[in-house]
Amino acid sequence: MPSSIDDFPLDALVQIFCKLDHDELRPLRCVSKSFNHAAIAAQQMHFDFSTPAPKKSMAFSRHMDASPGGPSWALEVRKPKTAKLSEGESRRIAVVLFPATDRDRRRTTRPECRRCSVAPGSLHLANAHA
Amino acid sequence: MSEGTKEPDGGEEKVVLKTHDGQEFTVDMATANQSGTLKNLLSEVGSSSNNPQVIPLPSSITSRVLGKVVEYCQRHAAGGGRRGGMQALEQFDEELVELDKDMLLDVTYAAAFLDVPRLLDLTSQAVADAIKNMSVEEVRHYFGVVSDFTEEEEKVIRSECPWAFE
Repeated sequence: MPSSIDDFPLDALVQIFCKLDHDELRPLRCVSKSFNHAAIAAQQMHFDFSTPAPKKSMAFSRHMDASPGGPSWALEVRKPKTAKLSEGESRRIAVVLFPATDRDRRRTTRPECRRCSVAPGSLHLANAHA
Repeated sequence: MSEGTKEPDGGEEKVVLKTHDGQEFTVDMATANQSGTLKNLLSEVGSSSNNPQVIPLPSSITSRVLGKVVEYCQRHAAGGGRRGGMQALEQFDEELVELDKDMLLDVTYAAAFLDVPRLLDLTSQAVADAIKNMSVEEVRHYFGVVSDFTEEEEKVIRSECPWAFE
């Protein structure tokens, strides 16, 4: 009989932890070393992929954004502008500036990308940092 | 209804599960197949009704614990078709995990060992509910663990998230 939890298989312990909420996991880490391992494993395989349950203590987070130091998006939200011109009017005004077909456009932009000797992968990474 | 000890076999393939304390549980294949561990084992060795395969189990699974697991597997092998359908089955599941602490942990262990996913789900949920609002000390007491951290190590973990221990 596994009288002590130390004989308990790690995966069973992880299973138990996965049934808890996010904020209930942390205190378990300092119960013992095996608990710490199980909590880290549970974090990696379950909690990183699930949304924390809404808590009363977070009630005011609706008014604050996720990061307190971050820009407050709420102030910058504007009403969507409604078009002042009707569709018929705007079509009358609009002029095609670059009369090229889609295929032509693709042909002209592709060499541009090659010229700047940056691999597409690293370009993507740079964007991710921005 | 808990266990099928020495049942007369009805021509079906049977498996005998033998606990460390010498008790034997004779179950049919559908029941045994609820357990991933037994299913794998049986698919390798095979069995016949004339000479049922005897599977010895480790000492960590007592006959009382195995009785619970077998009871669960038999009910779920029969499915919702028996005795009142899915609702009765759900109620059976609920009542099954109303166990004392040691038994609950032992059944959780057995479910993990025998790989019965839904039973493991049930029991681990029950354990999780039990430890939900416990302090670190209470959890240690519940599981019967002694902290094997040094003071420094515990301090480091506590300092990572001081709010969690308030």
